[in-house]
Amino acid sequence: MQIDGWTLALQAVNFLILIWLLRRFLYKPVKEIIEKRKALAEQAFVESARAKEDAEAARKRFEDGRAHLTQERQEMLKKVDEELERERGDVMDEARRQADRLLESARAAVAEERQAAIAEIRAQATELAVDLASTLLSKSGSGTLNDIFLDRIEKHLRDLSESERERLKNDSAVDGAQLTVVTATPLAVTDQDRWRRRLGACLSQAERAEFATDPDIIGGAELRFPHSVIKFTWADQLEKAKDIMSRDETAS
Amino acid sequence: MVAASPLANEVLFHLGPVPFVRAVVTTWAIMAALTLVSWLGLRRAGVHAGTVQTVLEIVVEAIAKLVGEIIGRDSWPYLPFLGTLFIFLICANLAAVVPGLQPPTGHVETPAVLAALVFFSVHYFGIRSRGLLGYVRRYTQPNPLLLPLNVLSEVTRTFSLMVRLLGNIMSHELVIGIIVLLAGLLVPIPFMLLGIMIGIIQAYIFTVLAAVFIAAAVNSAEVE
Repeated sequence: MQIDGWTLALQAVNFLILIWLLRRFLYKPVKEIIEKRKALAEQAFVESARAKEDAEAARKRFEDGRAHLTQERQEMLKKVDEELERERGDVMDEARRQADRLLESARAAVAEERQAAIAEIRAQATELAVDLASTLLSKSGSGTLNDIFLDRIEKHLRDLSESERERLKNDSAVDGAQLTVVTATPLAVTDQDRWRRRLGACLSQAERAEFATDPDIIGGAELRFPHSVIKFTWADQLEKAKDIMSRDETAS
Repeated sequence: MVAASPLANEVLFHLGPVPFVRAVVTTWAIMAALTLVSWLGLRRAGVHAGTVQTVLEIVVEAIAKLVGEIIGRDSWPYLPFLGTLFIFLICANLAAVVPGLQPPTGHVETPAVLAALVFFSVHYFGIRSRGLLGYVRRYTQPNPLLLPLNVLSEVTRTFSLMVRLLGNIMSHELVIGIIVLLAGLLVPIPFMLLGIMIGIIQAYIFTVLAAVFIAAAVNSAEVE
């Protein structure tokens, strides 16, 4: 067996050239493709990881937002509840105050109406009593009553002070002035003379008194001077009783 | 008339003083075929691979994985040499299957060149990886007294590498020739199929041993 040096050298060169050729046309392209594919895979992995992180972050933001919204909703509900409670309390207080006012005003109105009704009833009762008394007095005999009133007029004139008696005297002293005795029913002439005598004992001008009738006085008599009147009549008494009853009613 | 030795190279032509034997021309054909296939398969290489590109990627990645597992580090710096060695040896060994061709590895020059290149590449990668002193120091391990034996083992393992490849391929060629001569045309077919297996196994063994030698040179003592 012989080893050919030329062949040895040629094969060595051939193999080195083959290494270069395959490195140029096989290994390098394959390596580049693998690296590119690996880079794409890593990029896809990174993008996937980033997308996952983004999704996680979005989920976390969503969870936080939801929690925040829930908390905010709870706070708003609590606030609304408090406001509603406060408004309800205010409304209830206001309603209670209004109800109290209404009740008070209603009570006042009822009391006023009651008082008015009582007053009306009392006035009507008084009116009725006065009318009844007037009717009874007007239908009762007047002779005895006239004498009673004459006694009371006589006593009143005697009880007058000197100055008052003087003033009545001066009032009757004017020319043409005349004392008129008014009764509810006409007096008989004898009665008129008796009235003149008894009144004249107290007042000198009474001796010339004239007599007149006025059914409205019901009973008793009025002494009408030119500028003053002395009343001792049932109508006057009833009017005074009516005033007294009205004052009592107002006072009650 | 003396018959030509079956071990002798057939000179196809001369270019000046340089004789071009059949093994060299076959090597050129293999180089051209590999380059052409690589260029055609990867000239428009993209992420979405075609059929040829896919096959080439699978082959390269399988070799890279094998080399990486043996060396224990990134295989791409060693792939041009070891990968080319494996691919060329397969093509060269299987050339016997193609009618009219003879495997270049069936003659002593090609295995010798490949073994020599392995020998030098081991030192090249070792020095590049560990530095000159660090690489030389490995010959004194575990004991400086073993330095001559370590140096001798470098030569003998290279020689055994060459002889193993040459013996298997050349003997297979001789067996096929003898059987064809004695038994006829169809009988050698099973032996040719056996030859395919032998060719692939020898290419694998040669490449793996070269990777192991390089790994021992570039890695630390415990790997060795």
